[in-house]
Amino acid sequence: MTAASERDLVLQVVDLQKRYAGGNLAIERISIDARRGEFVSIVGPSGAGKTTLLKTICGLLAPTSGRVVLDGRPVTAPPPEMVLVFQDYARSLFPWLSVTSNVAFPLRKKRLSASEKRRLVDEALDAVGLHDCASRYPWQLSGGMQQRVAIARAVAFRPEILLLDEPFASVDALTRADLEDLTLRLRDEFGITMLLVTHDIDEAVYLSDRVFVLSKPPSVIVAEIAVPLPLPRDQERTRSDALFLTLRNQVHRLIGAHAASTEDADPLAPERIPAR
Amino acid sequence: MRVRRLLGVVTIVVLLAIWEIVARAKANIYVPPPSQIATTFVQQWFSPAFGHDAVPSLWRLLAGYAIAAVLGVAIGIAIGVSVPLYRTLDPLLQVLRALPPTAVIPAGILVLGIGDAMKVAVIAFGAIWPILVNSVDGAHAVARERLDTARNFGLGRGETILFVIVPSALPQVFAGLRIGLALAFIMIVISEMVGGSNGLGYAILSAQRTFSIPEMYAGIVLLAILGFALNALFSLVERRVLAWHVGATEAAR
Amino acid sequence: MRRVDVWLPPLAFVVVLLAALEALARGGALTRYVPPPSAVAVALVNELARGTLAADAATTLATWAVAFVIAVVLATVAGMLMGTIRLVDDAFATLVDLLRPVPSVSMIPLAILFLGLGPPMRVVMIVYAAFWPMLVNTLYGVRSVDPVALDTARNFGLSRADALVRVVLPASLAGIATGARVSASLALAVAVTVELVAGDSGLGHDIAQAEQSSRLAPMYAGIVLSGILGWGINAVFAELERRFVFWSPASRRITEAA
Repeated sequence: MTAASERDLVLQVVDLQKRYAGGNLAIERISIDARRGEFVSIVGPSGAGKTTLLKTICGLLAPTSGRVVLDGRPVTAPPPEMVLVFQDYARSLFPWLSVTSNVAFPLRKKRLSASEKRRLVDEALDAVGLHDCASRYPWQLSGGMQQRVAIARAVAFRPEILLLDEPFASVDALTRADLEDLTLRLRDEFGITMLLVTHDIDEAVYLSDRVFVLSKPPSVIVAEIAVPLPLPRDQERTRSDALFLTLRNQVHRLIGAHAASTEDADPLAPERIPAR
Repeated sequence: MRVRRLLGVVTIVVLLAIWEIVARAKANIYVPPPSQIATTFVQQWFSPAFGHDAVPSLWRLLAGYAIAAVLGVAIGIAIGVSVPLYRTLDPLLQVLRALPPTAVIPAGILVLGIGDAMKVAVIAFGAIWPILVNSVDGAHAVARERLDTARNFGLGRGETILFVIVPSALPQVFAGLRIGLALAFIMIVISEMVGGSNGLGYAILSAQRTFSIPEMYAGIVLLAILGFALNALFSLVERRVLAWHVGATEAAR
Repeated sequence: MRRVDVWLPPLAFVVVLLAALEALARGGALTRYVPPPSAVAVALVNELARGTLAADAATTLATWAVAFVIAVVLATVAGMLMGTIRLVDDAFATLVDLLRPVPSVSMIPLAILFLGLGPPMRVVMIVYAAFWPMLVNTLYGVRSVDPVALDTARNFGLSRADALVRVVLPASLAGIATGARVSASLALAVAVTVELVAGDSGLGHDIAQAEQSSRLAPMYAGIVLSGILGWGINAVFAELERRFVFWSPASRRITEAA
């Protein structure tokens, strides 16, 4: 398996700044990147403008300054290679469509034969384990299953990179563990790069190859932490690994220190904590 | 559930029975017993009078309502999806919606006379406002995440409207359509009472004026039946079209 | 968004619309039965100044107010009874379901028969019409009361009546507020309607009279005034509703009208 540092860059966010409509500065200056097949997390306190960040990266919002580059091309509108999975699955899925129709929805724009589309949908549903629920409606399913539908819909589109906006915040702990492992499996199976935003530090460290720590608005990257934990990750083994605990404590301290005041963080020189 | 319905029916039967007994005992020309109303009803409406009064009322109602529904939904959605249109027109709609719709009937009579055209126009005018306003609201208030999802997957404006905004707005569109139906009913009755020569509204009012009391009651009963039937039909259609919505709101609770 | 950005576009639109109507009417493009807005405005001012229009509007408002209060009281009591006592609900639910979709205005000839053409007939008609939406919304409000709250109150020894007034009533205020708004607007519409069809006084009667003698400008003035009254009543009650339904956007358009 290629080491993360040897893979090519699929996403580059350069000096991104974003001002809210009201004038407040949500993002002061953020630069992050993701390599192909990497799992990158952005972790920060609540209200850190994480949704705004993801929407800007995805092209749904325009940056005030700075740029987003995907596969070497600048992002000006939502590109088909990037899909955003929302935290509120109930509001992003379509209640008038069945699970299958929801998952098939993004494929209407693709020039594919009907059987090709069916195959993509079936594979996506199988990958998230919802094969049996294909003809049900989203609101007939539990929260975790609905989020799987949203993920399946994203996967069926076969994007290069998946942006996940606190996707597991609205489900219970057991379901969350399942969904976390699901995203890891999807990354391995489909080679999709993952960019996950969360306030759950343990989740970030568990899943990622690298973790970016975000400050409160006006947000900057406070630190970039490499996570050289052994693969494949396992809920029990990995989480009891000594390195896991060290890393998550590190992140915790960084968030705590910078949640209080952002003036200390020099946006030009985030702490870069290398793999040991 | 069964017992509940039974008790309800029993209450109605008891009330009718009391009415019957009291009306027979103290013969008051203004309050005929239900049995007399029933026989008059059969005599009157299972006869050419149905074609003379009930049919015109019905088709005017349906024509006016259809116009209001098509225009109201189409224009309403168009305004709802366009932010500049919404900002410019919505306040005006809110004001116009508050106008008592029957107040324009006299103006309608002057401009269009007392024929079918006036009645259909007046019905459409009365029914369109709730339809329009609810369609605007429904189209305007689509969840941000759904619109973002559509954009994310590369849908164009037209596709987003057709495949995301319209289905999302449908529950509220139907709420407006139901209110519009009630208003259409009111408008047909009043327009026939004020400026008519046939129709159920006209028939009821003229029966009162000529002291044909049982006929008046029979007319009111027919109107009641029609109102109930149309509403039931509407509910049937709504349940079909919005089957998913019933489930979704139940689940959300 | 700046304040002026909010009201300027709609205002500009209305001004342009009125100007267009003015030009069309003066130019003769509209039927001669539609006078220019300026003529209507002048007539409105004149009629109000003369006093008769204002007096008639006051009559309409008076009947509206009396009937509305009666309807609200009756419907709130009925709604609370139906919403809290199973037996009452079972007995009357079917009756309500049958009578609700019937257009209330079809009862006008009946009301005239019993009560003639004056204010009492109008009050009764308005009460009958305004009762239904108020009842439906009150029921909705009462049914949304958390049963736990009610049980707790009873547990603490509140009598049934006390519990009704001190727990159920405040908790169902949202539904009652919405019902009041819908009912108030409907009540005004019915008031004007009944005066129109068979009244001897009031704004609706004025409008009908003006139509019969082809006095265009006063007729339109009356129509405009009824619109203003309608808008005013709706605005007041919508604001009241917003106060009581502060956790959800004023669903001014969702609930049933009749």
